Amino acid sequence: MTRVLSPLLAWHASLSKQPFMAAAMQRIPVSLSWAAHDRRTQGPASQRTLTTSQVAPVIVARPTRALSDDKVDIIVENLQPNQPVTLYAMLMTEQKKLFESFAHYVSNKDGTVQVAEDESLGGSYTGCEPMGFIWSLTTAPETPSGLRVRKEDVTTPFIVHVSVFDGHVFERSPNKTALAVTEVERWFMAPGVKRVKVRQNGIVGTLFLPLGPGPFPGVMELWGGAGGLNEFRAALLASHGFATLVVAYTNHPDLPYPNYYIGVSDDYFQEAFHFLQNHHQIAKDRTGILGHCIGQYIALRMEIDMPNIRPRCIVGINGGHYWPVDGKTGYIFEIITKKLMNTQQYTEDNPLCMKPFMTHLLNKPSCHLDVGKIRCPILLFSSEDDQAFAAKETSLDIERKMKLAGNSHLLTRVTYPKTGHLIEPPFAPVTPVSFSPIPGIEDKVWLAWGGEKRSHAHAQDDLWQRTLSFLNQHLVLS
Amino acid sequence: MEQFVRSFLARQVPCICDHLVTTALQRKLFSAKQITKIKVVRYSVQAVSAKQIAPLIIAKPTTALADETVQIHIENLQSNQPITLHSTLKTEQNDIWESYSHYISSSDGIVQVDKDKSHGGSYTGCEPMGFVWSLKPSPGSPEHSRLRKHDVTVPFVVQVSVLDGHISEWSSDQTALAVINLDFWYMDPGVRRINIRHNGIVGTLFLPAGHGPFPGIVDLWGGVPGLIEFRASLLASHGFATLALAYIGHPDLPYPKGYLGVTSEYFEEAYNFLKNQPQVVKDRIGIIGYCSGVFISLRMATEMLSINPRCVVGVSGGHFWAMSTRTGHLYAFMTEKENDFNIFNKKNPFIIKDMIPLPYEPSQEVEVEKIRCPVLLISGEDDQAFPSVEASHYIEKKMKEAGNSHLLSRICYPGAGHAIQPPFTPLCRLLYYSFPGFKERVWTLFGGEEKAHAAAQVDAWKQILIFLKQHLVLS
Repeated sequence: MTRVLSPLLAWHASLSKQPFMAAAMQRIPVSLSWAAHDRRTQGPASQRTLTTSQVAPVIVARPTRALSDDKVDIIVENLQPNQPVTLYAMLMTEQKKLFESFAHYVSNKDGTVQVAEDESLGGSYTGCEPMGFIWSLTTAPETPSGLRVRKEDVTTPFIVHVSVFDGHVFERSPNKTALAVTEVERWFMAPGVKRVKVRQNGIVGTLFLPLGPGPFPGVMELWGGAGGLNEFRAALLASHGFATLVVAYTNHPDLPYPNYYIGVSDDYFQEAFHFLQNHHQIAKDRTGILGHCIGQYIALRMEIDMPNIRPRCIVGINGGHYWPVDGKTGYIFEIITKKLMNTQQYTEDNPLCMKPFMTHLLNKPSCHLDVGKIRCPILLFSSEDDQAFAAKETSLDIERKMKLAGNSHLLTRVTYPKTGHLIEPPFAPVTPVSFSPIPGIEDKVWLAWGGEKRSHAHAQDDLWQRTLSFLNQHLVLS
Repeated sequence: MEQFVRSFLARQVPCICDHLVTTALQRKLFSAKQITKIKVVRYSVQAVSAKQIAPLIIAKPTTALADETVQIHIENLQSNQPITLHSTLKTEQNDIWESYSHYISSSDGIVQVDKDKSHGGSYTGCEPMGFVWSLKPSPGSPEHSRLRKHDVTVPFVVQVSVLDGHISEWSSDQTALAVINLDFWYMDPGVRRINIRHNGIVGTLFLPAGHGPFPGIVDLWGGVPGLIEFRASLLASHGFATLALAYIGHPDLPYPKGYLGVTSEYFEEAYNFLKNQPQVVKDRIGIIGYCSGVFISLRMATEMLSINPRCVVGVSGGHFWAMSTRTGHLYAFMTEKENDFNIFNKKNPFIIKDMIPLPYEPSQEVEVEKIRCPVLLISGEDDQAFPSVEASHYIEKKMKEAGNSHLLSRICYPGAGHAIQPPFTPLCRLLYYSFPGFKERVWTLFGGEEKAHAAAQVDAWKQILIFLKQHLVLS
């Protein structure tokens, strides 16, 4: 029987590894004819004759239901030996937009493809990329390009359909039927995680609580200038044991300010942080802040300028110690729209880079926060190919200033080459360019975020592991 | 300087720091070197503060198929802390089932349920999935009932909590240290569930995702009323197009409860229905039967010549039933003597096996000499509801005499009872059962020792899947 142990069987075999079973098996009078039957009817798989009643190829994806930051192991079996096949993944978002990816594999002599070990020879990605089928998802031809994949309702999963087609193809065709199909669910909330809408004391946010009485470590999460309330990262953090409050500060219908206008003051952020700290299920002195882009600036400002706020640690992603607004309130993108002449010139191949509009601020220390006043551990991530913001240069400036001030032992700085601005939780589809709105301008504009897909995808995974480990270190273990 | 030291250290370790700083200041430890020393001291002192983070349960995965193993680790406990893993499940009938197991954390405050030993409670020893298979009805819920999934489109949710100390009974003043929910599904995403009421067939078809074609299975349960779907949905999640077929006691079947009225034509109709589905490979269909379903499976492999199953799996059954004709009351052999059942109670339960001697009625036995396909028979040595071990011996003997015993494989599990179900199903050893046609319920023994039975279920499922794949896919 061991001769026919394919990966699928090996997985079946792993179902029972209990020591008691080994003892029990010795006493089981398995009929001798079992072994005889095995030898008589089974030959090496490569010598199987192809009958018309051959069973179809099969895709086995494990796990089929998982958190969206979990890896999925895909194995395709029952193919012909050395058969070229295309692994095709499809996702229909809540906005009814179709995303797809193609990867070209060749089965081995047993007719098996193991996505975790084999190399893709072409398509949306090449090389050995176990999770490439998800992070390389791009808009299908019938879907307008330049869209980002975003989960709005975090209580339901993304359902990714994975199929196998014969041959190496680059597009869907009505004439081709899939050899095999399976579905994989990608969840953002682990079972039991609670989602609590927060609209009190003026705060606009969502709190995600792990199951149980607590007390839990707490994280306040702030997104970037696009605003709104993106819940998927907070939901994932709660699924890892951190009570997380994601707070909106601009561009939300429940905030009484015009779109893309930051009207909230320091009090707003203090209110939100204290709400988190004072929650009966959250450990008051074990709360940190995570900020992306402009959210990072706000996180730093909370630590530096607001004496009532004492985060235990801070995580910043592609942000700075300065921001494009003159003063504490104002229109975020005014710095760009003031100088933006003709938006028609920007296309998918020649998108608008927002980075140059703000680089002069890097050389203007008077508008920088005094990072010498940071008193808690801080982890800063920056992308070398960030086209929307001078992330790397800014983080270097922060490090320089902290060295001068003598508190640089608190800083850990990580940079990712060939990675763009939008670093999201692992395996999220990568978007180097998108067609997005900029306030003050009627039409949407092609925006450059940067990043080479593969490096960016790996960076997302690495950043997430480091973030969880850092938060665990400072909010749980220490 | 003093202020700086105070505020600096207060930021780092708010709880235990005051004492340290006061001592430091009293000893006038103000130099930079000394401050570093204090920092080092901070890290080696385990912060036993009042605001300690709660223990954390980490389960991998939190969402699983019902036959998958879940790895549970508990962290942030105290060193060598006695804790109880308390798991609860609310059934579809709104009853609560629960189990308790006693662990002691390591010196790092960690419990690894897949590696550590339970010291007491519902099970002892190293049992990674014991917290599921040792679930029992809690006080207030009907004792000795069966845990069965009826609606396979939604999961069972097992809530696992960590309680301080070793306890075996939950009380309302107990607070959990940590809680987690685990979803156990009987269907993979993409598997389709289709009600079948066609040409008199009463069943449910489960199709894996995609066009196929897939190998097919006809899934037959025992003499229980109704349509049991959870094994069929699991088999579909493993790639088999499976038809769960009702043949007795279903409201859509035109016979009274407990009356086996369907004839061979019914089973042939069902088999051919499956065979003719475009997603099913015509010559790769197997049959799996449980209890009286084994009797029917073997009949399908021998007497029903218009069908040609490629293999048969029989669990806890045999080549006969206690009936003198092919149709009739399945439990007539009991109802005839109903008055004698007064003697049975919980301590002295009814053992069905005692009423079914082997051979029962030789003319009604399946002619196992005529079996033409591989057969796998699985039985528990402690099966008290049917002489399945004896039957499998008998079948082997007959097949040896006939010269077709090379087709037979049989596995007998020591300590396992009658109810061999998919992995981690709690053992049903004793049931307060309502037999069709009986006025009163009867305490009935199914048998099995909990730990051995749990291990047998896991291995039996593994063997079944290997066997089915062997004969329906690989060959």
